[in-house]
Amino acid sequence: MPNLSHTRFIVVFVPMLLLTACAGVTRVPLDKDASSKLTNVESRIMIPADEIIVRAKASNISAAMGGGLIPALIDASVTKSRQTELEKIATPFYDKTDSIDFRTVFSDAFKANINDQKSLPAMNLSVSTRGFSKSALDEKKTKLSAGEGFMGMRIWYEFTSDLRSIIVAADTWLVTNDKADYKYKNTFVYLSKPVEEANPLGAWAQDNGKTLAETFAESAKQIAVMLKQDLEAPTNEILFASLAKQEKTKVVVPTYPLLGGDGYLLEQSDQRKTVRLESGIVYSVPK
Amino acid sequence: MNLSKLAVTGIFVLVANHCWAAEDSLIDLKFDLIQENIEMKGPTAAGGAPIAVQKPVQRASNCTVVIRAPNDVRHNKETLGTTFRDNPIISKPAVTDWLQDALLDMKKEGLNTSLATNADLTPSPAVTYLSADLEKIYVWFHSMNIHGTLVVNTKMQSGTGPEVPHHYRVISSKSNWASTDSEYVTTLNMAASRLIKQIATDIEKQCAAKVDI
Repeated sequence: MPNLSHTRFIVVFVPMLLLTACAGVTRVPLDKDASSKLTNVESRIMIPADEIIVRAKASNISAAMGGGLIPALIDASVTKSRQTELEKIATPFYDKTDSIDFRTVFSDAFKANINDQKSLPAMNLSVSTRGFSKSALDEKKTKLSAGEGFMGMRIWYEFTSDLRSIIVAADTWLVTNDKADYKYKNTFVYLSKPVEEANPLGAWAQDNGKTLAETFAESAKQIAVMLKQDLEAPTNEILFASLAKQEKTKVVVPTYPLLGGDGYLLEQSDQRKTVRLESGIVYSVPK
Repeated sequence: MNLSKLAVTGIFVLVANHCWAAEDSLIDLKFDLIQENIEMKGPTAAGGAPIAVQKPVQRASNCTVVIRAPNDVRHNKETLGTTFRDNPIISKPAVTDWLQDALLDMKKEGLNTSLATNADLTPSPAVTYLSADLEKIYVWFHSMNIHGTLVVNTKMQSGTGPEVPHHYRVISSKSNWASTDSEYVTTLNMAASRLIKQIATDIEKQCAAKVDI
């Protein structure tokens, strides 16, 4: 029987982001007692994707038909056909942007913007092309000495379904040699300003992908800012007691399935706003 | 258990299954030409099923191609993407050996291919030389399909003439039946098969141009 699930992004990240709607608070605030004892934090940015993938809008006939193998096969066939069509217009985009390495752009910008954080000892940052398995994490914890921490940040980046915006999501966690799962955990989502041109891929490819590279760097900066603020933020009880005095605001990320949800405005500038959802996940979105 | 609890549990199971990978996926990447759009002959006179027939490729020019060992210029030399469960896909054999085998297999595309030796350091007027840089190779997923992306830059040099650069980006697609290692290999072999078809066409053009000169 074929595999009935969607993309890796949808499989791995979307369920986590959808938890916002039905699973309460997923944020684990920084354990201040544990972090005050840390003298060294090894940090790893994990970016498995080699480049941004231009994906066709996935067919969703099976949902309307109540699921099942045949509708799923129809979906796969329709999506495959759309993807083949899309490749024709994606080729010029890649020709102009092939030399842009997300890992380098993101990690350089992230390092430059996280250095002044005060919640943890100086982060010794490295970049990896792979994720981090649960078994590897358990093994890593046993190798940590007292005073040592390990921070992981798993990065996903995608276009929205309309190819006009870029989503960068960062699942972040801190562990020590303590048996407790996490000393800190949260997810940050960056949504870029949409390009307005009729041909969005053409717009992203302009000037050899200048806007694309700038957006990658901007995502790293915003995620670093959100992480710094979140590391300093108090426990969930205190945090949400304070936020509950505000009116709720809604975040919508135009992708399939729709991401976002209800949350509270943390800050805003002329261009962007930062919103904490009821799960604790923080979004940086254009105004 | 009510429906909402079931939904929440289901999502947690999804996250638990997919966020944390089990182990690396070590694949035995060996090139095997995959013919697409094969002509079907039949049904047979005896009423049997149609038979797949691979038409031999015939080229107008009698091209002799000497292939130099491909270079690995990837930013990410470690993985070939991640599996459906987010485990890294790692090739046991060198990926450049796989690409080299694919390029040598252009003989099935009607070219006379051989691997460059020390004797080929001095260009021969009767030969077209092919150099290849492997820029990207990875597997990805969309809907129920597996895709393979292969990005290769080549330089073709006919005799002592100038090196002519070419850029290739090929994407293969197949249905994802069980997310097995062999499916990743098949997907990448489909991409390489498409790649060598395109390269063979360009080499033939270059050979023909050389004959014209």
